[in-house]
Amino acid sequence: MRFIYSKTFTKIFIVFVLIALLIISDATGYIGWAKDGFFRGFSFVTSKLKAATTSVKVTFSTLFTIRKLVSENAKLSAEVDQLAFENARLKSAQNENAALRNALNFSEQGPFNLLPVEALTLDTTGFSQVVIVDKGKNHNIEIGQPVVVQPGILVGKVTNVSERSAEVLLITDPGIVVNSEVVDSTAKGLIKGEHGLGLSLDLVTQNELIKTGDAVITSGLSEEFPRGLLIGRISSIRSSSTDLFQKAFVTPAADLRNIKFLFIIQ
Amino acid sequence: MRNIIWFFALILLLVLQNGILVPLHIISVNLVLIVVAIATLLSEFNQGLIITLMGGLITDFMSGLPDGVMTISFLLAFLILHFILNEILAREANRFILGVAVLGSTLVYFFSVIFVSYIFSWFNLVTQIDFMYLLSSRLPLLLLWNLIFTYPILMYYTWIQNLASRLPIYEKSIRL
Repeated sequence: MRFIYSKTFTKIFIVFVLIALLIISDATGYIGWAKDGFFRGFSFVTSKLKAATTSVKVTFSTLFTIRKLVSENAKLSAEVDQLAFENARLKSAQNENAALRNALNFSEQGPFNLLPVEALTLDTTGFSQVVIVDKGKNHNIEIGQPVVVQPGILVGKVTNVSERSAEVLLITDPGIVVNSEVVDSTAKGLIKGEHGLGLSLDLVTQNELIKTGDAVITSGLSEEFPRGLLIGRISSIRSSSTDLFQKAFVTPAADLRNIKFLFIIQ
Repeated sequence: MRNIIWFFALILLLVLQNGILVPLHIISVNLVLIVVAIATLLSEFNQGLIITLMGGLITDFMSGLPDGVMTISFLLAFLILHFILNEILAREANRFILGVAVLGSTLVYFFSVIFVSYIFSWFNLVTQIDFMYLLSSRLPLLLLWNLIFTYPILMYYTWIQNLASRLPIYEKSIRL
């Protein structure tokens, strides 16, 4: 009983009341303005330091990998040639698709309405994969809008919006589940985050053929993400024929650890 | 004045963590938590409480979890550690106790985040957290990196306290 009347207890009680007010203010959005100002100032200073650290890191890593540059350059040149050929082939297929859609009176899929945003900071606690971006309600950003890093590569979705900033939950967070499709075999599955390490493709039926290197895109079955956004490529299959469903690891197409500029699909 | 100095000191610490450690992919570290553990050991209750609250609030802003989760976790770590170190152990601080304090506060903080997030999930404020993965992968790295950075943060803490020492403050010392 004595402890209840002590000053220490009073202080602790006041602290918990303040924390409760903080939680309520955050849930109702009243401290959004404070967070916006904090993020902008913080990211301004941090970005300079990050750039300096990254340049030092790149200098050292270049020194260590300079031998591999020649072979990597040759490999990338060959890949560019192959991608150029595939790009031409896909453009032809796109024209054919548009003509067929027109002939069958299908409505044309319009291009996405993209809003460019800049990443201010990311969650450093490691408990979630969240990126804070520099635009919010003032640019008509809403919760649930998909976020891409280039027009076509999915990175996450908007989960919280303040007046001038928004939180983007990355696809590597287990809180996001994406209906997906393997491009070559059209096998359907669910993509789930693995805490920043990568993605896992699950619930693929055993009669579907999936293999390492296959591209995985959004299937568009749920209304959360439009169809056709590239998620990544299958890096390994981790199931056997006796399992009920096939599972695979998927490497994200975007470099989620070095995100700077993003686009929100509105 | 002292609290203002500490506020900017904690922000500077987060800037260094975000600007230097994150680009080097050292994500499993919490420098503010180390400051809280050191403050529990070396500062008076009021000063430690204020540092804990400021650190928790700033970390709440930076984290993707709802505001309040980090503050409550820091506060629980501070209170439990303060009770154990000052009421049960009640010994003069040394290197060993400092290391154990950092490890203990990391453990309490980690499990507090999981517990508080679980409670927040009842109100649909938090998405699911994979406890087993965090326990097996994040926790060991968090313990290791926090221990590695204990001494530099102790030096930083001492420097800030000296800077703020223009105001009268009772301070314990540590045998190194």
